[in-house]
Amino acid sequence: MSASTGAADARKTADRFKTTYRAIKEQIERVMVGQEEVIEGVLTALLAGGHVLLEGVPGLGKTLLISSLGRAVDLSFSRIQFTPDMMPADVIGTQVLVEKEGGGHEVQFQEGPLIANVVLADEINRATPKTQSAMLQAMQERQISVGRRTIDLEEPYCVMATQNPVEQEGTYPLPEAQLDRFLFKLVVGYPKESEYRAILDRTVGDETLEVKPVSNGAEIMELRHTVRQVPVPEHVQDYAIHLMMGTQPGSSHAPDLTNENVALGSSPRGAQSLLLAAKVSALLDGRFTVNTDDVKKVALPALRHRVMVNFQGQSDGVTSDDVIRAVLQHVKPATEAVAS
Amino acid sequence: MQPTNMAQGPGRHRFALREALDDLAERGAARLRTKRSLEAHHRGLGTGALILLAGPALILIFQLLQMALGSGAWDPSAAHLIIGILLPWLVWAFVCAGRASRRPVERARALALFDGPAQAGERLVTADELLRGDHRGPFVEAALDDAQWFVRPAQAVPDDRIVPSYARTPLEHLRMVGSAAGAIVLAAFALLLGGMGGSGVAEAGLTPPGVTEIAEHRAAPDRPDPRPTAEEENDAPVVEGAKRTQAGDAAAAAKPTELPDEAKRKEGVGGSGRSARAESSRGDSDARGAPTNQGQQSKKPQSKKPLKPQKKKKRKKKAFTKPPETKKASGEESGSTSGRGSSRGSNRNPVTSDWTSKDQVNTAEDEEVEDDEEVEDETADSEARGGVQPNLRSRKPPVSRDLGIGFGNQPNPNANGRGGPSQQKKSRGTASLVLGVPIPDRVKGQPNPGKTKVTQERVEPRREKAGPETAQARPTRSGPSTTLARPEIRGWLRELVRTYFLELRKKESKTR
Repeated sequence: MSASTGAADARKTADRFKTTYRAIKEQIERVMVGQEEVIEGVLTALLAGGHVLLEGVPGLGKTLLISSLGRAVDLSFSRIQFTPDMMPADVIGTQVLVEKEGGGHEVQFQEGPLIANVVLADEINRATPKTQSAMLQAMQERQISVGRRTIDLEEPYCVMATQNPVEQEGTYPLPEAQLDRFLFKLVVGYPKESEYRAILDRTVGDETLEVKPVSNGAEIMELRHTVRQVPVPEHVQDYAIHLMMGTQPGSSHAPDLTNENVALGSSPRGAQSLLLAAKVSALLDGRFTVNTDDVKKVALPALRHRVMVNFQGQSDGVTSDDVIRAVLQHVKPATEAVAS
Repeated sequence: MQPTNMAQGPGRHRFALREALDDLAERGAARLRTKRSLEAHHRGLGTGALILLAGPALILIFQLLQMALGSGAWDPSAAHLIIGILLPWLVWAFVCAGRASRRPVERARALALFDGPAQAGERLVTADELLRGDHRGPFVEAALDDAQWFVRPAQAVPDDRIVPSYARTPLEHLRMVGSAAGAIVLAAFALLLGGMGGSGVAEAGLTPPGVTEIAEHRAAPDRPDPRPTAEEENDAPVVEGAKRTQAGDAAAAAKPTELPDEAKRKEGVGGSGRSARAESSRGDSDARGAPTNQGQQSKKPQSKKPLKPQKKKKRKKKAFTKPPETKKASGEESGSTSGRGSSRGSNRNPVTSDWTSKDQVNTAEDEEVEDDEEVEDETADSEARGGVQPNLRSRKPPVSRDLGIGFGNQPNPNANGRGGPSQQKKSRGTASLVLGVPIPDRVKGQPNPGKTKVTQERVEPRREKAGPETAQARPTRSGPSTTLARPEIRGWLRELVRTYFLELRKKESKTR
């Protein structure tokens, strides 16, 4: 393949990526009013091959967003409403004794709701750590183990979990290991005043809005492959590493705010998430390589759940978002030419 | 707009792109170097503004030194001053600029200068990196193609748009203006000194009297008229003062302890009018141990003797209500005996007391005598309480009522046979058959809380008055929805809780 053909192919792939992305987004926006950042974040995570944690108060359309996404990409969708009495078998599946047609009985594996393409784990922090940890293997390795058998999960596989920041009584905060497995943590806020009218028009009227499938699993996998092909220049890689290190207290790139208020910084998964999401951002921006602006753009959702604020920070009202903003101000990319 | 040499095959336009990027990098590096050196020069002028003061200050010091040595102040010319002010400052700024221009400029940074103005989104920097590396693939090719579209706009960027001009900070500005003003003032002063010369300064009273005298002596042959002029009459008090100090010095040299007549008059007979200086001089002579001062020291108790009868009178008044024995004893009381009894001891510190030498315990014999007296006192007190009391000296500490299980097989060392800890308890039951297991006869524990009594009262429910809630328009939410509202607590309480928990955590971490 000559250089010009390769470049033309890349252009086509990038165009297709953008077109598909826009089509899916349009379908979701048919039912979902506003929340553009959240929709973009969820789509970015889906195309980058990661999982998403959505945080927001009830009634903001988190479940609607994810179910719409499942329909738009024509993928199998399942929803798990987590409760404190839920057991791992309720999520993964269990072996049940069934009656054979010809008589007699046999033990069959009954799949749990975790076996689907898009899984909505609603109010994940209401489940006990035992049940939460049942999702770890599925999220990281895309497979689940039941008894002596291991089941590979069908790709594309994406867990979209939601959690409620209020009503913390009787909840189990997600362990750091599980939080680290989410590519993004998106904060769902209230809609704007102008959006409320559209929400009411769409929801209290007689009209039924339907989401049409505009893509499928195979195409999503191709798009994921496209994302992985985008090259990352060295200076951008360095910048992502420095940003990640900036969240780790005591590192050479950490600002004072990190050193004083952070108990635990981001793991290397943070840098991976930064670059994967930045690749999607670059493609959507019509570029074939990642730049530092792409990394900056995705820094907050990619790192906020990986930074644990210590007691002093909590007592001072410092949030992980504040820490990441301070890191973004402190760490400068190598190409910042104006700085002498 | 066409990319550079796009029509001539990919190999060629890669080469052209590399050349174009080289040119841009070179241009950017030159601009960046110039900018850095200019910046450093400006910053050097700002930070080195204090050097402006150095030249005039040095000239001034030199002039004063000359005047002190009596050779007259050097009169600097304007050229000297200008060189003295500006030269070090300019040298400093140029050194800063030279140092900055020698610093190497990174190629990526030089190219990044064009990325912004050409709105290339780091395409040029990335293309340069991809060209120089081993990157291959369709996306790399596409990125290189993409970069070519931005070469021409980058080349067209004017120099002044590549690098923004350096703006001096307000602090630098202030420092520079202040230093310049200071330098001007110092230079003017130096000129003034130089113009006045040595005598002028002395007339203005800027030098000490001794120096003036020397200057006068040296200038004497030049004076045409030996009669004192009006100016000299004005100067007279200064000279008189100098003479007075000379006379004072001579008197001090003659007799160290003798005070001048005037000073003696001020002091008065009792020495109440002594100045601090006189007091300190007396202290000094005390330290030297001159024989006259020794005499004064020996007189000290005599001068304070009249205080003693007054004290005795007071004590007599107090002792009037007491029995005659205590009255007799009060005659012997002093500061040093304050330890005898809290009610009867003197409040005066025995060290500062006048009677220290009399009552102080110096030898072992004295100590014994005092001990004996104390014992007698105690017996006397116990007799006064009406009967023979146990000697309180042999009194033991109060008995502990703690019922411990003992010290293994050893008897409790605190046992005194008066309750509390005692010898090993006897045990009962099967446990007593097991050797070496001391069983406490009472187990510590919480007593039964007993029965609880619940009293129920029947109260008729009463209706409470409540006004209807008025509906209010709620403002739209401005902040992020997901952050919880922090409870409103007062600042000091919040700080207190915070400090408490911080301390707690610190202690916990230390104990770990």
